[in-house]
Parts: sequence; structure tokens; C-alpha cells
Amino acid sequence: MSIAATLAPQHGAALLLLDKLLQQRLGFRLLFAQHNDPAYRDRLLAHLLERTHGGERLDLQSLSGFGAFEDHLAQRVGQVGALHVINLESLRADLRAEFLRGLNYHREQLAAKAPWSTVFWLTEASLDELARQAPDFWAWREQVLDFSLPREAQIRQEKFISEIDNRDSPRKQQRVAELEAYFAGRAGGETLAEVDMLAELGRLYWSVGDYAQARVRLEAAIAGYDTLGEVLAQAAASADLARILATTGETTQALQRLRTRCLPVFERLGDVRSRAVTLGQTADILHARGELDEALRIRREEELPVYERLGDVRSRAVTLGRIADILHARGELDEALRIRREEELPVFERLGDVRSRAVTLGQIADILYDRGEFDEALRIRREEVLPVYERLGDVRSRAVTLGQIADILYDRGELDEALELHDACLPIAERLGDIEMLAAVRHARAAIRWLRGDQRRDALPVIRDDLQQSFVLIRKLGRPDAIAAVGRLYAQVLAADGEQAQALAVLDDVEAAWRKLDNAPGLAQVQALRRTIAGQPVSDESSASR
Amino acid sequence: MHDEMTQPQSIWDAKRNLGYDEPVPVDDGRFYVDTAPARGDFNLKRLYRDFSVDDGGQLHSPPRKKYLLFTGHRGCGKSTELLRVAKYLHDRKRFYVVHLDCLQRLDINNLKYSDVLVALAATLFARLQDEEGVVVEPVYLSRLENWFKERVITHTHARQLQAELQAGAQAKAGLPWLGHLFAGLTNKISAGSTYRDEIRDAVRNDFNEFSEAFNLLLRAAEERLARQGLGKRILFVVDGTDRLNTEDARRFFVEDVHQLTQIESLFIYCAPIHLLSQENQLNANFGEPFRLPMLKIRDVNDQPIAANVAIMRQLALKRVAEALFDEPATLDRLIRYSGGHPRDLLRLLNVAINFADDERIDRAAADKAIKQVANDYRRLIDSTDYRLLVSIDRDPHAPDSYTSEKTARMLYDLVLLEYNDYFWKSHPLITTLAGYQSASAGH
Repeated sequence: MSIAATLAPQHGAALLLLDKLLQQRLGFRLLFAQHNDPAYRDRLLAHLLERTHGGERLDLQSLSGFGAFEDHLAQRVGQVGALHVINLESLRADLRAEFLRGLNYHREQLAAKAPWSTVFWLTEASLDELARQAPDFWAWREQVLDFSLPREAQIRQEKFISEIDNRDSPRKQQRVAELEAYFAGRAGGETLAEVDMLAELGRLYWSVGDYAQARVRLEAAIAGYDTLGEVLAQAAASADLARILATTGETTQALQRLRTRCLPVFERLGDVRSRAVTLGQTADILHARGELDEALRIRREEELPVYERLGDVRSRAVTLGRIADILHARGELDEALRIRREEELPVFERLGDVRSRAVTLGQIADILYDRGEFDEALRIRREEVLPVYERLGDVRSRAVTLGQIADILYDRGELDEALELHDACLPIAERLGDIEMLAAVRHARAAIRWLRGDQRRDALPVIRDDLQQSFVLIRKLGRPDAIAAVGRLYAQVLAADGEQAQALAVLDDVEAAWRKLDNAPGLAQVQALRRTIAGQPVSDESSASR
Repeated sequence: MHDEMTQPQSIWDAKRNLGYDEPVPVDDGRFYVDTAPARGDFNLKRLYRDFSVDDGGQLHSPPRKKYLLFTGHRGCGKSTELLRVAKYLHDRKRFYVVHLDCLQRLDINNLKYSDVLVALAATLFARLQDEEGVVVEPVYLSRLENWFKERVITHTHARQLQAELQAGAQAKAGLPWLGHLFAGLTNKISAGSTYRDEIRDAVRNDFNEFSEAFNLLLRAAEERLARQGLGKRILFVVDGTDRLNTEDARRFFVEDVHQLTQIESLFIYCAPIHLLSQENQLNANFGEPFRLPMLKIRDVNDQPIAANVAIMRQLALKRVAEALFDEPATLDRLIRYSGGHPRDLLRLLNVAINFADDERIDRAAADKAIKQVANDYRRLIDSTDYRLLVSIDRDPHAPDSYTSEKTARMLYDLVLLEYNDYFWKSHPLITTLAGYQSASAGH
């Protein structure tokens, strides 16, 4: 793929300048390139390396320490092509400190060994750290170029990381307002650009959890694409709609849409990648429905081979990760762990994709958690995952990770610490406008307080308030699994507060959710609870579940 | 403006003259500019007087020992000025100067006082023997020789070390032998060999013996040098120790100062500017540090000082031809925003060339360069710092009242610049940042 197809327009001048600087042979030169997306960085690097003879990319994670870096420079004697250094931010804290110290103290020696242009590709946080911790080395910089992507562009550039939308709620709302203002009093959808904006609006509503509005807009976009004969875009919008349907529990409709409106189009047009992605989406739904065998078959036999044929190592790694998810759900923990460690993690490390690596490490922590290896799970989350998100400025992932740490602490009985972490996540969730996270955090806080017995110390109103807010959000999202989990505790709390009628009404929702999920044990549990609340004096139930 | 250089073919040719990694020797006719006159009412006389050299260059009676810290902003020309100091003071009527550049001779990563002292000894012995042919009687050397035999070799239990150190030695005793040994020790320390820690331990554990032995040898060497008309006293000039970070500098200059000051001689140590926040602890041993001020291109009221701006202009035009600027005002604008910092001026020129559209540095390219380099400084400033900077700018004559770890760090990071007659100002680039302007408006 040519760089023109993937280069963000605002980076054109910077890339030209960097290219020009690298073509000059001026002896030792130090340049810094700021980025916030490893995949994008790699595409830029590939382009630059193609253009300059003798250039080299050096991943610091492949070296044992600063001494090895100096040795590498010495071995490069006679070369003149630029050296691109990546992944300083991915080093462990002590190794990174050693490296920065070495850069600063051995500045002159490095310059003597490196009579070429050296480009350090760093995230903003790492660049700031280098400026402060290696000021003498920093002082010899020639130029700092910025290849950071705005968050919205990041999502379009790299779909595999696009699950997370870190735009603050105000910015999302601002864009929603802008688009709504445009379409106000307008039929809309008459031009392709307008239909694109309808689809965008639908995706925005989805990202803020307003699924009803998301559906309306996406359906309008699908109709618009149909009118304009844009079959591919129509199929993509259909896939987005299917995702919403799946989230709100309408999995049968979602599957039908994918199989009848999306897959045939991609097959007809020979778009093997989109077909594979859609099959993956299908497998996601089947997985959520518990149809693990069929989900596994699709992943292994239909999706994985496509990425292998395309040479798409990243997508292959992600799919293997999904396979590991299924194996994990089936209890095949050893094989799941092997895939994560031996097939998934090395790919992300090699690609310098610190975010995906962090996600995978988190999944490894999940497996270890299920194996009862709480200490190691906790260590991974605290020491290897959390710092990555902090460095990337990924507030949502950081908050999610804090929540996962809190889960482990909860299971270890360290309720106070767990509660503190959830308290820390709440303002983040509010700022992001992340309804799912808000609902989860409020539910978690309530569950901890309930387990601690705080309701006996006048905290019942606080517990009830958290659950009420959580339940409202969950119902808005329409996620049956969450409705069941939150509703069960909420009903108990309401009953404890003397609100039997309200409690029973909540149990109606819970029962409907279990029916939707076709979950007999869940239904039985609800009915037992209903009898307890309706027929007998309510007592505190310390065994809260989440 | 005048053009003192051979006309480059293009701005990209001029770029070759804007590297940072090659220091400019004093006798370099192409690029060297004497910037001393541009530092304001500054001269090195105070430093010379500290070592009992009067304004006429006459040495009176210097103290038995003295330790002076020579400090100033990163990239403001400390090493160049130190070399000038060394050159002036190295005179048969004044001192025999022994200059050590730790960056060249040692590995300052994890530098210890023992490394410097051993290297100074090695340098002195080599100079005495190889350059001057000074002979020192064995009675003055034997204590140090015995220290080595009894403390280093025995302590390290390393016959192999002894064999390695003695390999290639022409003599088995006397100054040549001692010089060869100490050079070998320095090499071992510098290379981070397995013996490094053992050598350091030997110096540390028996430091009294080492220092007494070395002091004895120093006195004898001084007498021989004076007798041969090569200088009345030995003066050690140590460069490179200004590179030490906060923690390492504190360890070297504060925690280990007792050891440093047990060597009874005259020393000038280059020190990082951030050390000044620990002045109370330094003054007891080092006296008042000698501070090399920034080139004073503006006065306390921010008015340009024409004569000093002219010196910076000269510095620029030796590297970038006048014809490559659209007009003189463009260069003057870059000079203004350099704040008098030579390297920042080179950096602004470098970046302006990168932004130049049609092979000339115009106002637009200059402004882009100013914005870009200002943005680099933003990384070093916390949002709460702007109010402090505004306060200092409005009260520049009272830097002492702002002395703290925070302002020491700001001086170190060049966010704050120090000028003669000892006033502080924010780097001009900082004043272009939105945070500063907002703080200024609200002040």
C-alpha cells in the first residue's frame, strides 16, 4: 500500500522534511519523531526505509541494555544510512532509566560512533521524559517532528485498536451536535457525503451508548447507500448495525443481517478481507451465545487462513487471540495461555504495538486469574499493563485496568483497596461519558459496600443510589447479561430498604434478561429470590454477586 | 552586517556548519568568536583573584589548597572558557596547569571521586615524565608506590591485575613506573573492567594513606616544577563533571567532598548549574561558585544591547552567510529569541533552514523555528511554573529570593537564564507560550 493511502494529510510536510533531512549526509544528526500509533509509525518507517539506501530500524526491545546499543552502533561502522530507533517507551522502567542515563552521559561517544542521522521515534510522554532525564543528549537535537494522529483519525487508521474510543465525552457530544444541527430541517442523505455523515453519526451514538439513536441513523445511512448504489458502504454500515443488535441482545437478527446483507456482498465483490472480518464478527456473536464449537470452527477454518494468505500478521495474531478467548471459555487454559504467550504476544512486540501487547498481557492476566494465580495476575496488571496505558495517555484502558485490578483485590478480600480503585475510576468514566464503565463502576462500588456490610452502618442509601444509577444505564444499553447481574443485587438492596414492590419490578427485568439469554439456572435463581422478597421478611444477604 | 565566511552554495551547505557535536577550539579561525565581551560586565578577574593572581597577571601567595566550582548554563561555553582560563594560568610565572576532561578520559556514568583523583594522578605523572622530564626522588614516591603494592594489589588479590598493569612498563620504579601504573588504573576504571570496583574500594578504604602519599608527591613535584621555571604551583582543572545529574552531582560534590578536599592542591571543578540550590552545603568547601553568565544580549528591562547582539550576529554569520537571509532583521529576530544562548541560536538557525521555502531564511521560516523550539521547551515546564516565571521576570534583580530546587532545575533546563550583573530572566522562547502569556495577563 503506498504511503499516500495511509498518510494523514497534516503530516505531509513533516514527512517531506524528514525525508529531505535523511537524504542529507551531514554526519551525526539527532532527530526526534513523535507518534502515538505504532502501526502508523511502522508504515511511515517502511516508506522512509524504502527511500533511503542503507537505513535501518532498531527495536530497543531486542537489545539487552544500553551497552548493547553502543555495541550496535560500533558494528555499524562504514554505514551512512539513517538509524531509526523505536520502542524506548516499551522498555521496563529500570532499563529505560539506564538507557536515558547512558544517552546523556555518553553523548559525545555516541556522536563519534554514529556519523549518520539517528531518529528516535517516541510517544509524547517518552519524549518529555527524555527531555528531562537526558537533557544534554536532548540539547543536541536538530529537529522534532510530530506524527501524532488525532484520536478520531487513530480509530480509522487502525481498526484493531478501534474498540477503544478515548475522545472525551464533550468532544463526542460536540460532533454529535454539529451533525444534528446539519441534518436539522433537512431530509439528509441525498449525497454520498451526507450519507457518510449519517453513518458517522450512527457510530458516534453507538460509542456513547445511545443505541436507539445509533440504530435510527445507521438505518438511514443504509437506506441512503442503497439509493446511491454504494453496495460496499451499505454492507459496512450493516455490519455496524449488526454490532449494535448483538450488544442489545438481538443476536439472531444480528447474525441474520451479517449473513444475508454483508457476507454475500463481500463475497460477490471479492473483498476477502472484509469477508473475513465479518466472519469474525459472526464468531463473536456465536461466542457470546455460547456456541463455542461453531465460533471456533469459523476462526480456525475460515478467518485465520485468509489473514495467513494475505500475510497480515497482525490480524492473524488478533484472530489467534480470539481463538484463545474461546479456549479460555471452554476451560482449556493451558492452550489459551500458550497461544497468548507464544503466538500473539511476540507479534505485537515485533510490530512495536505497545497497546495490543498490553491488551494481550491483560488477557494473560485473565487466564492466570482463572487459574488462581492471583499474585501474578495482579503483578502483570500493575507492572506491565497499567504503565503502558499511562504512557499512551489511554485513560479509558487505564481505568478498565484499574477496575480489573480491583476485581482481583475483591477476590482476595482486599475490599477497601478495591473500593478505592473503583472510586478513582468513577470520574474518568464520567468524563469519558462511557456508560458501560459508569454502570460497571457503580455496580462494583455497591457490591463491595454490600459485602462489607456497610448497609448496617447507614450506607444503604449510598449503595442504593449507586445501583439505581447503574441499573438505569444498563437498561439503556439493553445488555441482558448486565441487567441480570446488576438487577439481582439491586432487587436485594431495594428489599432491604423496604421497597418490596420496586424490588419485584426489578426482578421482572432480570427474569426477562435471563429468558433472552436462555439461561435456566439464572431463571431459577430469580424465582427463588422473588419468593424470598415477596413472601418473607427480608434479611441482609451478604453473598452479593457481581 | 558583514560576511566573514566563504559563501556557501545553499542553505543546505550552511547546515553543515550548524552541528553541535564538534566543539570549537579557541584557535579555530573559521567559527571561533570571542564571546567574553558579550557576557556583560564580566571578566575572569574574579576567578584569577581567587587564585591570588592580580590584574597584572602576577601570582602572589595562593593558599595551600583551594577548590573552586565553575558553573553556568549548558551550552553557554563553559568548556571553551575553562580552556581559556587554563591557557592563561598555565604560565611559568603562575601555575602548572593539569587539565582533565572526564568525558574523554573517564566514563562519567557512575563517576566516583576516586576515578577523578586516580585520573588526575595519571595525567600529572605523564606530563611530568613525558613532557617536562621532571625527576622526583624516590623518597617522595615510595609512599604511593607502597600504597599501590599493599592496598591495591593485596586488596584485589589479583596477581593478574598486577601483571596487566605492569605489562609494557619500561621501568620498575620511580615516576615513569608510577605514571604507567596510574594510567593503567585509569584505563581499568574507564573501561568498566571487573577490577573497577576493587580499585575504587582500595582508594576508599585506604584513602588517608592515598591522600597523604599523593599530597607528599604533589609538594615535591611543585618544588621541582618551580625550580625548573615551569610554574610556581600546580593547578588542576577538571571538566566534564558538569554533566552529572542531580543525584550523581550531589554524591560527588556534597557527600564525597571530604575526600575531594583531602587532596591539598588548587582545583577548578566544572559543576552543573542545578547544584547551586545546594549552595549552603557547597560554600563550606568550595566558596562562592564562579558563574559564567549567559551572553547578555538584553538588559534587565529586556532592551537589546547592540554591541552584544553584534557579537552573536558575528557568531551566526561565521556559519550562515548573510546572503541567505532575506533581511538583517530576520537574523536579529532569531538572536533575540535565542536569549543569548549560542547553541539555541544555532538550533534556531537549523530549524529555520528546515522550514525555508525558497532557499532563503525569511521571517516566516524564522517564526516557524521560534514556535517549534518554544514548543520543545514546553515539555520542561509544568503548568504551575508559569506564574513563578512571570514573577521572576517582574522582579529580576532579586534572584536570591527565588533560589530553590525548582528554580535550580529551571536554570538547568534553560527555562530561566542567568545574566550579568546577576539577574534572571525567562528564556524568550518561553514568553511566546500560551501558558506564560496567560499567567502574565493574570498577574
